[in-house]
Amino acid sequence: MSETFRLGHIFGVRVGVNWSVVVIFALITVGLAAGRFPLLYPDLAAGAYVAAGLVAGVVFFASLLAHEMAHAVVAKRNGVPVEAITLWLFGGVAKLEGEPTTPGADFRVAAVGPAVSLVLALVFALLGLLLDAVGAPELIVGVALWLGLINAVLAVFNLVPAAPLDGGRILRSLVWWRTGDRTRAAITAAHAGRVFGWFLIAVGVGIAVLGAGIGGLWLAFIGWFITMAARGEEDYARMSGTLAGVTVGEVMSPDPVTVPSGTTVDHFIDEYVFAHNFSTFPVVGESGNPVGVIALRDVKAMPPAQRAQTTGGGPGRSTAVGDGGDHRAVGR
Amino acid sequence: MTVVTTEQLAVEVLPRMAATTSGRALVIAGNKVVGVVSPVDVMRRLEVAELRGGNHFPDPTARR
Repeated sequence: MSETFRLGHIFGVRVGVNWSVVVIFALITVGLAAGRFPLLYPDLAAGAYVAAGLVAGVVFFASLLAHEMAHAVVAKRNGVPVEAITLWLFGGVAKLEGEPTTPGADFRVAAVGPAVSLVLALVFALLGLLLDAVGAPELIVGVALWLGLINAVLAVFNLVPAAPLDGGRILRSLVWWRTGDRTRAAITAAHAGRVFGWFLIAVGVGIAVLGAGIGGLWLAFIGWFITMAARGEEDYARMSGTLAGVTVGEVMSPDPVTVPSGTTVDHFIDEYVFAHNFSTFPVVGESGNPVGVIALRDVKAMPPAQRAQTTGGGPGRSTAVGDGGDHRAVGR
Repeated sequence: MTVVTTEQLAVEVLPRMAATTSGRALVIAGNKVVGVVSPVDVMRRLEVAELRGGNHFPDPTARR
């Protein structure tokens, strides 16, 4: 899932949020403010329930972020770069730019997330009991206890040994450690994920048929997501196994048609776009060094009148096209 | 622009390519552009390996 907006960086890791978080946040807040809290703690002002629901929702997502941040920090400590953390409909995901290289590292990266959730569950539960003991308002106690409960549920659910859940990663690390075969371990965890996903779908549909409605359908939806994700992980594991040890040099398309960085866009169109059946061309400097890429869509977006004057960003040129990073340029 | 080297593992650069708008990466050797790699290139090699019945990846530069 993509990042709709960025929250910033924590411990050097980019943190973003997908729009779907709004859906789950609304479900949690409304569910608590209009359901659980009025039922358990009746006769309070409506505003108090809403405030409690909002606080619980925000702290829940902070707990989720702590869970994912733990994965990210331990991954970085074990030599695995982390691209970003994104919160979304089904919780959060830490996007790693590689894979742990040992079963031990795989285990540590996977296990730390549920461990943090379990710690948070204990902290919130103890906080709730402490607040209750000192006579704090019951709604505040209720928020703390709910946060303890939801973090415990998060930890336990994630410990189910089925990929892509953390428990599936733990299972993968253990099978990898036992057999020495990472591909086989990943496929085993993915198979478990597919079985668990279908189990959730069956239970969810059963619950829906028996009258629980949206709750059962939501469970089935989660099961469907786990099944699909597990299948993707299995495909990736098989591909990784086949590609084991294969370098970029072995699979690349060699001798690409390159465009000198001083080329005008008109010349580029005549001599490169019309002459070759490619949509993207590398742009190189005088020594053949890479300076960017230019795509057909870049020049299509440019007014024809500018094409004769526009070059790859050479000295004295004021306009450029292409992709040398975030800006558009033939060769910057 | 994603730049990778010929020695890097294909499986490691796939996620980086997926993150780019073009879905491709420039391949350099000694700071010179020597190739372009995309997920399609990798998939093609996988299919060739499957056809060959094993994990055999011929060197594409050997045809020159």
